[in-house]
Amino acid sequence: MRSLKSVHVVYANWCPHCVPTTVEPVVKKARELEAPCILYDIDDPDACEKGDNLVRRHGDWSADYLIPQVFMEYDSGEIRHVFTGYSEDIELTRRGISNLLASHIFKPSTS
Amino acid sequence: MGLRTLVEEELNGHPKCYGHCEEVSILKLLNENPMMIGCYSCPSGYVSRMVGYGRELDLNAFKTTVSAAAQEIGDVTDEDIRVATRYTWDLGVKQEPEGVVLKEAYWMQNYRRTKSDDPNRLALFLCTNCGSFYCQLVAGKNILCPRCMGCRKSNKILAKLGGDGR
Repeated sequence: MRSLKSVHVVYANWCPHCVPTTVEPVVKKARELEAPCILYDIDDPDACEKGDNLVRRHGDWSADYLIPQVFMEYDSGEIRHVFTGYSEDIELTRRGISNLLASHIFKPSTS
Repeated sequence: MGLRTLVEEELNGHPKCYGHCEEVSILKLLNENPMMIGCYSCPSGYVSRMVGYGRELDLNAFKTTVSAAAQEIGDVTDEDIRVATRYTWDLGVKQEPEGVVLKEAYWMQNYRRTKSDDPNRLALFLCTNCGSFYCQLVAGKNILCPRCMGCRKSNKILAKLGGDGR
């Protein structure tokens, strides 16, 4: 059994796939699970560097990578990429986030 | 679940045309070899984006395909290609083994590095008749490629001469 330690979201305020579509429901869900949600605004240089590292090491990396990207960090130290926005249609991003938050990934603890 | 079915059922977006008009873009699946490629275009045929789909992605093959289609409007670099992983939990599919279902590679026309507001720029279109790529000015009104346009003109001339256009 492993426990969720924190949720990480790499995002931008100007991106409608990110705000409010992804950030708001993920922050709310993380709060319900009593896990911190760490946000990395790619327009903030310090946060961007950390977000870049997350995406490069664990996510869907490309030179001009897609946002939003969501990661789960567990108490075992594992960091898992679980979501990237659907560039083709914001409605697909909305549906994808809804599915993700309803899935076992966002249950209090996963085995 | 076959890749084509997955794309048609789960990744069939209806976004607004990007960088050309206010109409909705529709996904057309173009080919499956060497990889499945989809193209979002508006009713005028303007191509907003191309998407490659695969259980594993061949980014070189995708870039080669996009470069060939878009060669008249400019080069395509690694920076212009973005990738995404789709999982069972965000697609909401139950028929697949838990975890990664497929990956997508995206190329967008007139976006970021290649963004231009020049109304006289060349742009990539998809022929609304035969589905081949062609280029014209972004404000161009042709919805057919030069070949289909030529066929239509020939048929009109034959019809006037009393032929049957075959």
